[in-house]
Amino acid sequence: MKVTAVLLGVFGVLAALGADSAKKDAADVKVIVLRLEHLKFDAQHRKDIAALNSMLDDAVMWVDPNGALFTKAAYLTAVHDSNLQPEQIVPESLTVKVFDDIAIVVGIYDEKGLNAGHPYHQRCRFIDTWAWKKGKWVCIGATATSVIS
Amino acid sequence: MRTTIALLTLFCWGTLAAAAQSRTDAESKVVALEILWGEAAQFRDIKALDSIFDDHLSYVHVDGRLMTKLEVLADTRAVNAVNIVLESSVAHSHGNVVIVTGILHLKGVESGKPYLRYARYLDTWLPQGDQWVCVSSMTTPIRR
Repeated sequence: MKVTAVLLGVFGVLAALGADSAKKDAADVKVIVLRLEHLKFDAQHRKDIAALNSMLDDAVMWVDPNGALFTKAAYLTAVHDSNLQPEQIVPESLTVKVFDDIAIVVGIYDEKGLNAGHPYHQRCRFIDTWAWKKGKWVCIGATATSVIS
Repeated sequence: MRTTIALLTLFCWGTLAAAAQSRTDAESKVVALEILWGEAAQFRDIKALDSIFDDHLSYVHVDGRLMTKLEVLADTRAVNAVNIVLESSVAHSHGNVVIVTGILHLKGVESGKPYLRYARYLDTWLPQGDQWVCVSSMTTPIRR
């Protein structure tokens, strides 16, 4: 948890120092946003509420693989209170498209763990939308759907 | 002095009101486009869909398939007619981007059998010239 928080802090400072170039250069944006995606999955795995709180915009719209819509507060509460104990959340096949101040990430994540003591496995395709706001990249929209029949 | 303060207050208020108004306008336009999209998909209006989607659209179908704009247009031409009803649309703008979510009722016939499905969509819209285009869209089946 501390490692993620430190990484996010360092990353935030670096992003702020190179704010203009990070914002304008699409290649840089792809690297930054991909790194943030990995940090986001790591935070979900560890149930690191502080890290998730710093990555999600206050007005984020979060849709889970069951089609339920969450606000930021509701999502963080759900992660905190969840019976799920993820053993691994592995992102795959990530692609990033940059549109000026917006980056769209599409990929798949493979999640395994225990749900109230019982093993579970879900494989989902996801789309996350990141926006450049107040000198940093934040997630403003996240949605996922199961790709296991 | 008082006049200057009053004028400044009025100016600030006017600027804030204009910003709030434009945000509402953007959200309203995009919600209207979502309705138009539903109708265009239902009536297989490829021209309308072509103008709604950005060329670099990332689209995830309700069955989980990842598709390009061209694949979505081809799929719309090929599939059986679907009745689409939108409800509970919520839009939120973040500067030059609007995120919209809502619920879809999809009613149609598949392999000779009628179906009714509920799904949640989440779309990202950006301004392009004098119109708005959808750059990403995912529809997730609702498990109740």
